[in-house]
Amino acid sequence: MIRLAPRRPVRTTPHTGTAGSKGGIRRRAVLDIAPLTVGVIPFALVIGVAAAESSVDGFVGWLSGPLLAGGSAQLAALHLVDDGAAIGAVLVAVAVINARGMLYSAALAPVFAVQPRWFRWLAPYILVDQMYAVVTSGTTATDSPVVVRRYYLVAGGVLFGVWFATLAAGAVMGPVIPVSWELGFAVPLLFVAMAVPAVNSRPALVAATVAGLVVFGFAWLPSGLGLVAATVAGAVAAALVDGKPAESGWDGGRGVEGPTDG
Amino acid sequence: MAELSIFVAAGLVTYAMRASFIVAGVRTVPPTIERALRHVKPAVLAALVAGSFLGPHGSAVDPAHVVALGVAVLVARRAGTIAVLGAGMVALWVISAVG
Repeated sequence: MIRLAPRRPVRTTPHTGTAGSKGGIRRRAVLDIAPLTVGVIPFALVIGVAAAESSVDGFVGWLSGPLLAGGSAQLAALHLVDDGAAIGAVLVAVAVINARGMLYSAALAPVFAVQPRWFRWLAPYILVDQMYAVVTSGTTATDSPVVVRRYYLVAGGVLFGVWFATLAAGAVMGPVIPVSWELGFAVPLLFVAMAVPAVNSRPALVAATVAGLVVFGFAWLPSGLGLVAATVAGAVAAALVDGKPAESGWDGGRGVEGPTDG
Repeated sequence: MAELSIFVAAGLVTYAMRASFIVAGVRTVPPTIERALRHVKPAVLAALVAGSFLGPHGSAVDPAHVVALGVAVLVARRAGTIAVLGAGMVALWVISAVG
């Protein structure tokens, strides 16, 4: 029997169901999002530099960050606008790259259904890979709505506060950062760090394997579409082998996925 | 300001996709679909990792990247995010310097 996820201690930040002081939730959210935030800093620097070096006016270039709330899409949009692409081309490219956002929306809708309307309008704005990963492992079905939304907003505030600030820093620092450092490589590394603990059951392994194969098989597709196709294929395949009864949103109701970080 | 309006439009498209089901307040989902949604996480993350092995338009990527990602996977089985980032970047730099 292959050992899937490594045997590691359970999350380091104590997890108290519906109880949990405001400060406790805040601390947990910060601790959980901190390593992911560190991981996006190099990428934000790279994008900040790219924005500064493009023909797009400085402030507008930075503003594309908060407007798009997504690194790859922002880079693509900056390149296309810099090249004078038509708005249609930019919109298609961004839609394709961010298409997985719709899958995140479907996956989290049952989780957020109990949240007040203002939160349901606000939360999707920052619904990126890292936020989806952290909220699905950092909260559980036993957490009260207040806990879930506080956790999500604190984590999001930290992640995006640092992200937007680093975009600006990258623009200011500009070409001081050597290209040979390949700072952008931190992004796939971050994906690996998030992916490995997520493969913690047989259905999850099926999901990951099928998804990986589909990405390679459909490599001719624009990457965003290939990603969506792979995700759907992987999720469907896993559903076929998953015998557990349905439980919305979180990781099969388990919630705990290994340490928040080391 | 044409550029700004393009970014605004792109931002709205992105937001609309992410907001779609959440704002609609979809509460319950047919069990079969729910079972699939539960596994979006490992699927999407694996897809993102696999995609990292490909260059743009499906071309193969730098072998140094492949090896460094392999190192990262091994480290990820034992240690946390920071360790994976550190090990992966160091591996990349060492391989690039040597290779």
